[in-house]
Amino acid sequence: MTPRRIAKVARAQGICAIALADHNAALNVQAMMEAGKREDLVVFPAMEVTSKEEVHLLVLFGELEPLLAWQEILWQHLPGENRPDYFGEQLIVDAQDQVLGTTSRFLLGAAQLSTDEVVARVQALGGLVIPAHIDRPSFSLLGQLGFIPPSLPIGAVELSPKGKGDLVPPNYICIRSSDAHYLTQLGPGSELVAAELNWQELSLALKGKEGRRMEIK
Amino acid sequence: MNLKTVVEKLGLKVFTTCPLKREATGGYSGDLLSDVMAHSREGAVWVTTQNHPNVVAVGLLTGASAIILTGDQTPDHATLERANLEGVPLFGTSKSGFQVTGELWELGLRP
Repeated sequence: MTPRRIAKVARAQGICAIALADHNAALNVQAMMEAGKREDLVVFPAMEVTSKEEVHLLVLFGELEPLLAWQEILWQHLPGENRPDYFGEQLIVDAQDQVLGTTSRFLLGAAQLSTDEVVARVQALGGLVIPAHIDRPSFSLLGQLGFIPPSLPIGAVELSPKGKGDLVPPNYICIRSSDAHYLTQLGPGSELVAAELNWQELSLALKGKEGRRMEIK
Repeated sequence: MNLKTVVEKLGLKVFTTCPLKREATGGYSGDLLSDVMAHSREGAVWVTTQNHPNVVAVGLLTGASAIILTGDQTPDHATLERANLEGVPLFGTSKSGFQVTGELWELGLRP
C-alpha cells in the first residue's frame, strides 16, 4: 500500500476522504496527503495507537502539525526495536511511492501510555480518539477491558468491516472503516452527513452535534 | 520435559500437525503480547487466551516450545495455518489459565 496507489484505488471506488492510520507512526501521512491532493482525495492525518492495555485507538487530526506533535510524545513512550525477520520491514515512502527508508522503531509494540493517557494527550492537541474495531476480540477496548469505561471522554467507536454494534451502548456513535492493510481491502466505510467535507464538519458528525452525523450500513 | 508428556499429563487437545520435537524447559502465562515478548523465555510453554495469528509470531520470537490456548478456544484457520507453517505447536484446554499454569508447575516446569 503506497500513497499514489491508495489515492487512485480510493477515488476509483468513489471514496471522497480517507484517514491514513499507520500503527504508532505518522511517517507516511504527509506523503499520503500530497498524493491525495493530486487525486482530489481528502486525507485526514491519523494514527492507530496501541495503548499499554494493548487497545487500538484511532487518533484523528484536522492538520498534520498536531499529529506530528503527538508523534513526538508517542516516540518517548514506545520501547523496542523492530525485528524485520519476524514482523517485516517498516517502510517510509514519498508521494511518488518511492521508498525513502525504513524505521527501526517497534511500531507493532504497545506504547507505555494507558488508554486514558492517550485520550487526554491527543485531545489536548485538538485531536479525536476513536477506539478501533471494538467488535473484535483482540486489541479492542471491549476485547481487552470487557467494557467501555464510562468516564472515558470519547463519543464514537469504530466497528470492523463486517462487525456488528450489538455490544456497543446506544450513547456511542458507531463508524465503520475498512481497516485496510492491503489495497484489496480498501473500501468505503461510513458516510459523512454534513454541510461540507472538512475537519470541523467531521468533528461535529463524530460527536453527533448540530445535525451532522455518520451513517454506516 | 518432552511436549508429549505435557500433552498427556494435562489432557490437552493438539491442534497443530507439526511434530512435537521440542523440550519444554519452562513456562509463561500472559495475554499482553508486549509483556510476553519482554519476559517469556526460550523453551517456555506459553499459556494464553489470545487467539489470533500474531500469537504465533510472538511464540516464535520468544522461542516458546508450545502455546496453550485456554478457555476451550479453537484457533482460527489463519492462526492454525501459521502455526503449522512455523512449526509452533498449538494446544488447547477447557481449563483456565490459572489451573493450567498450576498443573504445569506441578509437573516441575519453572520460569
